[in-house]
Amino acid sequence: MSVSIVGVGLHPFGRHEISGREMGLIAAREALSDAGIGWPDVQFAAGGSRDSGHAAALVSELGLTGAAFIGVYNGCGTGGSALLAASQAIESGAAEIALAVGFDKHARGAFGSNPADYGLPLWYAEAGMMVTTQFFALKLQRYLHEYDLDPRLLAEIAAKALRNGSITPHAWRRKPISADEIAASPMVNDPLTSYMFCSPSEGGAAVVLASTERARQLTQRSVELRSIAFRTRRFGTFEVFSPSLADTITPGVTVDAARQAFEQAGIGPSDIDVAQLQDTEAGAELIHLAECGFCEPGEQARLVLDGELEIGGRLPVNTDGGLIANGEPIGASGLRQVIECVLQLQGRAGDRQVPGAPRTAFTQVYGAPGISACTVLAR
Amino acid sequence: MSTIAPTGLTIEVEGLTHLAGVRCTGCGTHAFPVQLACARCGGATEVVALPAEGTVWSWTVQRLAPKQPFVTEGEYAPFAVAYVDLGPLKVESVLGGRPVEAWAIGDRVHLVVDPDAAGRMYWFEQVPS
Repeated sequence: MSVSIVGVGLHPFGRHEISGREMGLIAAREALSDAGIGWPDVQFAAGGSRDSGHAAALVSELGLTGAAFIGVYNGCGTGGSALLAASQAIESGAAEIALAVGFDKHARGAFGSNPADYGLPLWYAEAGMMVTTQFFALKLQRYLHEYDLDPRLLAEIAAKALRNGSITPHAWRRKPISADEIAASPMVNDPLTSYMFCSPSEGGAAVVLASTERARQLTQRSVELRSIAFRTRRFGTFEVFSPSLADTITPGVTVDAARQAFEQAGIGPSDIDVAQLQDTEAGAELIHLAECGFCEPGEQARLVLDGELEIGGRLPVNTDGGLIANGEPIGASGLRQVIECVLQLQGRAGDRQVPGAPRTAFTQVYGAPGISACTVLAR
Repeated sequence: MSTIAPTGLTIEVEGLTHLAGVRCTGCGTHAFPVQLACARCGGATEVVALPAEGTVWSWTVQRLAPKQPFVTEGEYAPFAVAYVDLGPLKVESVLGGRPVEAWAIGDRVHLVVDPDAAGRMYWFEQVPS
């Protein structure tokens, strides 16, 4: 691709007094300032939120410049959709500078879902089966069984997330919790305990993209968006909100998205120096490690127990604490992953900086009803 | 002789109640509940009675009460949920008739239907050994 990231902005995740929209505005202004440009320089923007209003309405406070602004929504994958739209606007030549923005502010407790929004009958939700945490547990329980993995790994993964969160200024959960305490916290959906899940939260995130040629004029520290792949599920995969599954289960949508992202980037999983993966709960990180190609299914035990996923390990994953430590403001979450990778590649990640000046990074976001977006970034 | 229930959820064949699923007239793919087109190839589907017995393929326990529109009678009690392998497909279902922790992958289960129950119109129970 010929697209680079020239500016990033993040409103800290967690619980705040201001609206989700204001957090999006703060993040957008910070990203523009980080790029050394103003809103009038932006020709195209894309953004989304679930609960905090239309992203395009930000123009009334960014400035009524007439720029194109597309509203996007793809559940937890919304950040990936915004980034895809903005990057394609640049690749197509429709814009030289584009903004991707996401923000949200959710009520406490797990998300509720309306079956009609997903083309499902009402009884599916009335019977208590339209629950995202339940899906994660069902998928994970089968995965642990098939690959003979110890549920203890889940507590270790969550402990790593909270350890990383404790040294990340923008994270919500800043207190490390031991794997023993995580394993002993109340069971939510077996084998997942409450401390292994992320919670809906609040925050804003924005990324400024430019054509690689324009990026060179703007900054010395731009990060190249080597590829972005956005896919929906194919037949036979095991996805959320499925009253039935096929006789033979086929590899998940993330396998397709990650493979495409690596092919387009011209590098492979073993070339990646730092990664942010969707960890809605600890088992999602476990499964996504293999689905993205960083190991074979079942090999995760070694990666987790040998410390390879830690900051300082061979493949640091979720260096800012991921969703488990940041919570999930749906519109902003996927862009937070990209921003964390950009900061790591630029050497601006502070106490959580991955040593050895990382050159390549990878992000993966997953959402209902079976979508995945992956990026490869390089400096 | 078979009759589909007004809910569309079940089908009666020779006096026995089954879940109503579909089979693609083109590629043979099965799905549940009834849908007009095949998710695999987009072809037309026909309604079929799904097998009433299968095995637990994966399971978990819903420890906390789901949000609306979940329906429960009286105080909430945790329940087990599974994908039940019926052969041509796996069907998501509540599991009943047993302590929630007792389930294991591979357990044999059979269908139970109660069209008048609030919210939960079908579930699976352990096949007596």
